[in-house]
Amino acid sequence: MVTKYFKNKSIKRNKNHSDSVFTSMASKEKRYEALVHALHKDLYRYAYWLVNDRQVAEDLVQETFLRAWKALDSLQDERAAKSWLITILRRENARRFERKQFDLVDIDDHNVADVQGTTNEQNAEQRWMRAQIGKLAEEYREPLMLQVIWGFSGEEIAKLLELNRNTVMTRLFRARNMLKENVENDVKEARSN
Amino acid sequence: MDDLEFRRALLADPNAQSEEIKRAIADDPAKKHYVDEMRVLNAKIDAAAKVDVPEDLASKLILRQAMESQEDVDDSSDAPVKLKAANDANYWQIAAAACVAFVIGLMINVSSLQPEGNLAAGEYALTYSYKDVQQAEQSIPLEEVNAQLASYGVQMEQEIGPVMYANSYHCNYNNVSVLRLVVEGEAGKINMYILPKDNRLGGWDEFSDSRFNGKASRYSNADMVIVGEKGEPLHTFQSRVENSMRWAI
Repeated sequence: MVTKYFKNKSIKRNKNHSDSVFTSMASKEKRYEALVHALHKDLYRYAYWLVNDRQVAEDLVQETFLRAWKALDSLQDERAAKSWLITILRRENARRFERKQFDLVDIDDHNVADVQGTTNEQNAEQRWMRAQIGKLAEEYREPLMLQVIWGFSGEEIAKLLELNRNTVMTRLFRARNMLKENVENDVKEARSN
Repeated sequence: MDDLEFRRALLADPNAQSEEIKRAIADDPAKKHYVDEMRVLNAKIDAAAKVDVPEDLASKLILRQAMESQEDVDDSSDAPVKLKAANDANYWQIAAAACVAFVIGLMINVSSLQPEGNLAAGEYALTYSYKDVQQAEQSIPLEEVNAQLASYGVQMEQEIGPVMYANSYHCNYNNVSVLRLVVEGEAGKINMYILPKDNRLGGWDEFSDSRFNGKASRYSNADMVIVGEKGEPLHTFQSRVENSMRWAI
């Protein structure tokens, strides 16, 4: 019974495909894999800073790439791939909030695994800086990470976040200014102790 | 450009090399100190932003896509509009195209898998195990299961439990045919995957996630991964399978 069923199925499958389907499928897969290899790391890092949680970040990246695969034909220009993926990921993240308001995660708990391969001093400094970035309000952290991770210009960030460029530049200035002040305060505290 | 404007511009975009900023530095060498300070801060922010990325993430993303396109094929095969019989000429075209697609597939898989390292067999099987399959209403007879097992050089001499699903599918991810069996276990369904030796997976060991436990084992002429719900005595199941299996030499 089972064997018969699958014999039928495989015949149907062959009938369905013409040569153009096969070649376009192969080239679509090739495009997809190139996209994964080129952009998955930056997309994961961006997702991580958006949600402050490794598992949620990974899930978001998976959902984003799955949607990207389904809609790959709509991506005409490879140069637009970065902002295209970011837009999909932001939308997925918004959906996540509609479904369920996740508990806030304390950023300090999630950085233990990030520091392998560096010296203790670098570890401590990097952990500290990660905690500071994690503490920034999302409206500051997101444009900052778009600039740092992806190298986007103020105009590009403004377009992605649907803000005007001046607002973006102000937020970028404030984000760095807060981090700078925190560094200075930390140095002062260390000296007074 | 006054001092405040200068600092604002640099904090907002430290890589900005506008003429105004260059001129401001040239006019006032003290500003150079501020630029250097910013460079140190930015190096710290850049390093901190680069959190570690899971090593197998790229492989997982490609596997999910391979599964997704497998589903597309399955879905489209049920569409009545596409059930027209193809003539012989079409078959030749299809066969030729399939060969091209196969070779391209091989090239892609080889190039994409190597730099990323092998995906763990457990991760691979877990991903598939979350995808439900339509099970038979009655247990599938041993001879039908053996018919599916034959191409892997394996036969079962005794029942290993009620087999509710037995189907091999081609996985684009590692370009092999995988046989999936679903067996009724004590704590729920047990998923069993029989893979040919050239499956390009790694991590042949025990594994688990929040829902499943599993074990990936290598045998002489095929590999096997079993995945059961938490609480399933998998060791007992595996011994039963090993006692029943006859591996062709």
